Amino acid sequence: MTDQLSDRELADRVVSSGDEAAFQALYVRHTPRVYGFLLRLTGGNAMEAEDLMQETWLRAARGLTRFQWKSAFRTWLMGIALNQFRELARRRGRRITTVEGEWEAPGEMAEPGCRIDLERALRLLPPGFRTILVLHDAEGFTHREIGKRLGISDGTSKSQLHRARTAMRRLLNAGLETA
Amino acid sequence: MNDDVELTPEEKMEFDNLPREASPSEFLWERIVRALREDGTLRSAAGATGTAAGSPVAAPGTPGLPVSHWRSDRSGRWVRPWVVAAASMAASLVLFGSGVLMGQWMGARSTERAFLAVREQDSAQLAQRIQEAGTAYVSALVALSELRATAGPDTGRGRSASSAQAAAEVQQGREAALGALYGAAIELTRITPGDPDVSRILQILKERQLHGTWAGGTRMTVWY
Repeated sequence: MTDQLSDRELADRVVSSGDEAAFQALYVRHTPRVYGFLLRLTGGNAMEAEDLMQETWLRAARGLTRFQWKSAFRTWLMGIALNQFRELARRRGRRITTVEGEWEAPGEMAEPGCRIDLERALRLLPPGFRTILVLHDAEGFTHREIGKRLGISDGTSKSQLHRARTAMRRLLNAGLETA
Repeated sequence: MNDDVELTPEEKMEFDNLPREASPSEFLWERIVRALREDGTLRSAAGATGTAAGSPVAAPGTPGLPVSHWRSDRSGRWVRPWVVAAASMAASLVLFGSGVLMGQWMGARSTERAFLAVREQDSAQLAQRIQEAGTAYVSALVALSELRATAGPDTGRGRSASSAQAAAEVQQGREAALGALYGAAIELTRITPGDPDVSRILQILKERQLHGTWAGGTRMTVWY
């Protein structure tokens, strides 16, 4: 029965009475999409993505009363997930907004004559390039949104995307070039 | 400058075709719900009724039953004082005995519950430790693979020394990772002796160790 309710109705139940069934319906509805997003951002690190997903839901559930419903619930959830990803990167000293210096494509990543697939290329890219490609090209964020979410300027976002796409192409075609 | 690396239609299609959804492990839900129940954000319907129904607290009135029974059963005829005294003493003894028994029973129950709660907490903490260690293990492997990737092939332009050092470090990390995997597989077979997948993993690792293909060279890891 809870499956038929809107996100807002479910969230209201969670807030008003701690309704676990309502929370479960929200979890089932949104987790696969947000987890897929986190899995890609972390370069396929399932354990890290699960930790981030857990923290995202905990923050969302505890902060439901503050959610104004000016955006879709999932958009809000994705925003929390991205913040958690940033926070984790900060704690681990990883740069996810920039890649400094020239980046060299790793060798021996593709069989000669073969083109590696995009998913694998995204995993092999440094976090700074991967993040911008996932947000802009896979998820459709604008440069303004990316700048706001990652705390960088629109210009930095654009230049990072430019470098990231170049690096991605180099990786995708690495096998073809060595054929 | 920034718009000259536009995605080609093929690349755009590849991005569009990337799968958008993935399924986390079944334990994630349990971890989240447990945390939210603990801080009171969620209230489990099953948990709430279960607590009430399964409460070991005795039904109201049970301990007082002997007193009311003695009083209501008294006849209207005259009773000698020593009989009253004996009856009172007997009643007191019955009350005292039942009180002691009830106390022991309640004490045993609460000790049992406390013991179970401690055990449950310990298992939860252990599960969390395993999760944290697993995350650290995988993250270290990711960093190692990035190191391997950035080290790249030896170009012969003054990078040979650093490349060789990086390769040695990667090999050491790989050996340590395999060793940890081997140890984990052994413990997992102890936990779930009948699991064929775990047994297979252990078998593969044993064979690798047996045939000396563990780290592809000299053992470099010092175990703590």
